[in-house]
Amino acid sequence: MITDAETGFLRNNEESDRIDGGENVSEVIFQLENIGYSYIDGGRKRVILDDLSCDFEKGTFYSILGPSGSGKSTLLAIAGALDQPEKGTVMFRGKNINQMGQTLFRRNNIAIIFQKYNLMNYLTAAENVEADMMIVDHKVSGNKKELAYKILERLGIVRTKADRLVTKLSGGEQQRVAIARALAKDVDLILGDEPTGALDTATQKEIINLFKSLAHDYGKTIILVTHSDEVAGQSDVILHLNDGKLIREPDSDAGKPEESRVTRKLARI
Amino acid sequence: MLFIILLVIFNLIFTGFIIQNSIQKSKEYIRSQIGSAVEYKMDFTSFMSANSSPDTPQSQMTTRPPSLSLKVAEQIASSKYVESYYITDSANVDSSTVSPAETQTSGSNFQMNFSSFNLSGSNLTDNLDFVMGNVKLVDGKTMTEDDLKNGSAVVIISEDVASANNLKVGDIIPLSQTTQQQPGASGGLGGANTGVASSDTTTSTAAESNYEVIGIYQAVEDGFDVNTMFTSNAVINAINGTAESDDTSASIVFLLDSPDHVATFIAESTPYLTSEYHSLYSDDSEYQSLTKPLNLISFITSILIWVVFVAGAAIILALVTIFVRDRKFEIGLLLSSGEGRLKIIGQFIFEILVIAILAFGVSTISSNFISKGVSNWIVDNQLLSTTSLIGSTSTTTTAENVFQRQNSVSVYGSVDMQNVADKFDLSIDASVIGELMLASVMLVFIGSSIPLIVIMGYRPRRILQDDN
Repeated sequence: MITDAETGFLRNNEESDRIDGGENVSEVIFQLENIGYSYIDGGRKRVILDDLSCDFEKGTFYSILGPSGSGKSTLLAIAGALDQPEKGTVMFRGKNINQMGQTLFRRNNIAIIFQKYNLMNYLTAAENVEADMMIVDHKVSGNKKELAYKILERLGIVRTKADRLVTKLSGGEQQRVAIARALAKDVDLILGDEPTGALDTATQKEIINLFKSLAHDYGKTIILVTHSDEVAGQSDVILHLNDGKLIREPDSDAGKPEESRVTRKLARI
Repeated sequence: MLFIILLVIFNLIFTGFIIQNSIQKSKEYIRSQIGSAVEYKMDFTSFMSANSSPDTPQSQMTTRPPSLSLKVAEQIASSKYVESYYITDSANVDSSTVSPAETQTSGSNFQMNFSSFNLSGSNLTDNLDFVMGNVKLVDGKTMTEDDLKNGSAVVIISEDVASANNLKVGDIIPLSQTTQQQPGASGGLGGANTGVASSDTTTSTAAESNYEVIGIYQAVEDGFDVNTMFTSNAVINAINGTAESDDTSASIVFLLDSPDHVATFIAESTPYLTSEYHSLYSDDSEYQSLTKPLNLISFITSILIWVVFVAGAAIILALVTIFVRDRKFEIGLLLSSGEGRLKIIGQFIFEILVIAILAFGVSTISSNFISKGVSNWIVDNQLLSTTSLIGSTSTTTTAENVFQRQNSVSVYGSVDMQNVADKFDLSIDASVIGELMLASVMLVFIGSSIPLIVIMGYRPRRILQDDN
């Protein structure tokens, strides 16, 4: 399991404060409320997101499916405070992220994993992970580099590889480094924009299992945007983005493991 | 790349700065050598030509130029720049027992003096010639405040006169005024000395009075008239029969606190002068001629500095723009991770500053060597060529030169351009380093601020999308 008792990184569910006396308590951690987004295309206004609302629970693995151009990436960018909606609000733990400060929200509360890994090529894998630890305000105690090695090691990147430039690693390894960066920030919400899109099937499966573990064992909320039914099938909740609205796929939580102590509830779709 | 560019730009600018600084120091040295004296002068030529004009009515013609009153002189002397001022009255005297010493001009064709001795007065205990170092006391003492106040009959004579007449301190010598009778001319600046010898001039001698020799001086300045005796203005007034409160026809010299204030003092004090024929004069012409080549080089280096500064800022701007653009993806990545824009800009500034400080350090040393090369050229081709020019002009002795020397105290120092060349100091002191640092910071700031400010407008999503 991915834990670090010394630093408190990646606390498992027993340690999580949302678990109270073994009773399953669901907690809405992230909300999109009446989000609207459009752009002008060839003189015509094209609505991408139309009064979209959705609640996301802690410890749940969500996937958002949709055809190309449906606005999946835009939705993820708005959720990740990389873009501003025309209307509506994004709430994290009940607070409007605009009031919280978008930069602060990005810094301390979310991590985004991209399809193309988006790593700093002139740094080693460990340095990439360490860089994100330096950005967050809740500084980790102890040796950051050592912690970066540990996180990478637990994601399958051994120390010798961790000291290599990321360009010297395979695609799967680079994506693991990207996930390690997200874990290094020790945030509750992880967003992924086609994070397995560039990976082979075997690696893709490994990464998805990793996301599942993060959600179910460590209480992270994972929201992935994907066009792959196979990836979506592994998630707890499948959401379809159609005509600017999110529609929950019926019984999409059938595959959720019973041992998971996280309950999920879609408050509004 | 940025380091190399900064190195080149800094070297060019620093070289210019160091040369300019050296030129400034040299100019200050020349100025200090020339001195900080300002003379009150009367423009006799203009006065005489105005009076001899056929348009001037006979009734308005006068042979006596308007005098400067002591009140005006004191008003001018009250300037904050004036450290002391010297009013030097003079009289021509003869003696029945003391003979004049042989002088350098005695054998010349120009017979300047009608009398044996020139008696030079002073309003202060030290005569201006002592202050300017034209003469130095070798025996006895100078005048006291009481001597000045009471008009004590005391004189300081040259060692040449003392030696020729076997005189010593404490001896009493008889002196009498030499009365000049020039057709239609009397008074004016320089008093009895202002007239030019002519065949029409006749001299006579008044009754003698006794004067105590209180000191013996030695002439230091070449060509100094050793038949000059020093006393107080009160004695001169008594001999000439003029009152001290009268308009003065004496030589007036204002010694300022700094050579730098000469021009300002003249500009501020000229309005006090009551006649168009009066003027305040400092030997600026020599300063101007000596500093002309230095000014030219200073001007050229100023242009060089500004051109390099502007071009340098543009190059740095372009380089930092490329620098930022090359790392745009990294910026987008950091922004998407929640890094603050100001912190990213601060990081860039830090990186640029580290490079700039490194380039600054290397340039401070290397520009010193470049400056030395340039300065050798300046010394060889400008300063020392000026030396030969000055040397050739100063060897020409004219009647006018001799006349002027006998009528006024030499208050301007001579400038040896070899000394100026030797003192062409290229050492970098703290103030120069401060200036260089300021220029460097401004250059880097101007060059890098615009591309760095652009970061404030970066949208992380757009950057990451563009890259993907």
